[in-house]
Amino acid sequence: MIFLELFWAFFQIGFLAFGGGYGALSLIQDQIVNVNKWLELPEFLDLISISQMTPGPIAINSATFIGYRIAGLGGSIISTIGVVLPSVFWIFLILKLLKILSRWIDTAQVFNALRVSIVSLILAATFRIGIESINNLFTVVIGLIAFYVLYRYKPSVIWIVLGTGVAGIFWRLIAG
Amino acid sequence: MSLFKLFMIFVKVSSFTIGGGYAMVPVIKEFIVDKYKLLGEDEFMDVIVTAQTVPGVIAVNTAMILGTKLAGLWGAVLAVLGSILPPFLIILVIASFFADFADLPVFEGFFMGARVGVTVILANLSLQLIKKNVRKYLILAIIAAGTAAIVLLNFSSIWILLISSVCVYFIDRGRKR
Repeated sequence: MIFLELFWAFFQIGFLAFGGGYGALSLIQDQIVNVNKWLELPEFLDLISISQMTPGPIAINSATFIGYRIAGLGGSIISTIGVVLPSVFWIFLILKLLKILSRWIDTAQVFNALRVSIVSLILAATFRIGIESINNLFTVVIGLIAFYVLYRYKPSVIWIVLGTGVAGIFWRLIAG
Repeated sequence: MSLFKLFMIFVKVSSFTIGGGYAMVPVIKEFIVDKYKLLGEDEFMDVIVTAQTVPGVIAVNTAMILGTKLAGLWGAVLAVLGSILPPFLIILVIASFFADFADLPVFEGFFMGARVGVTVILANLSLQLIKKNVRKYLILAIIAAGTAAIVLLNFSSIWILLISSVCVYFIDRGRKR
């Protein structure tokens, strides 16, 4: 029963994926290419690169895409539900755990520390996307302009994403 | 907070999250903290941190906690629906109509540029957070070391979160408050 198999594969991915999309990718590859042999590696990599290029979390995008490729609309719905559902369990658990812990330890102190160290994770994501995307004169200039505009005029960050995207279209059409 | 408004916030956030989980943080912060002032910055960052400490799709984890905090069970349901609906529909359209979507020059160009934008808003958020939370060079060094370990040495982010939090915790405890 393909729906059940899809659900189970993506449920495991959602249940085990630590640290977001990049961590999930190897799990997804393992389930889709190695364990279930639903796709060959090149086709899988194509789907993943589209999942990274479109808006939304990579795990959701690839669940929808792969589910659709393998079993149509039903497959895409089942796979997406499968990857989302484990969050219900994990979040319920962590919120309960925090409540219990707060009786014995000062969780505010712990969160102060966590709030500082998460900057490393956000900086790391900044570098990773930056290294991949800022790699020629055009992207450097656009990046500097966007940063100046954001810093000086504080527009919605949505405008920054849209504006740089449109600039990219013009560059691509002019420079080829 | 009306449920519909909450739903729409997450629709907007997931529509503009290009390039993975963290790109969501500055967008969602803008709505929840800056625009609608539903949570303070520290409280918001606590939600982001909590969402990282367990497995799962980070955007979904975040939506679930924020939804619960702001509007209970139905808040959680609608926040999660809002954050998965746009990507789900976009992918369905692409999967059924454009087989070689990624090769279209317009799309390729937009993606190339937008990721520069995502880098910029993430860099801006990082600077804001450092300015707000870091008072000592030692702590700045720990953040730099953690970042390098993830980017250069491919350490898992959950370990960096744990190790550097323990360091920061004891450094801050040593300080008389």
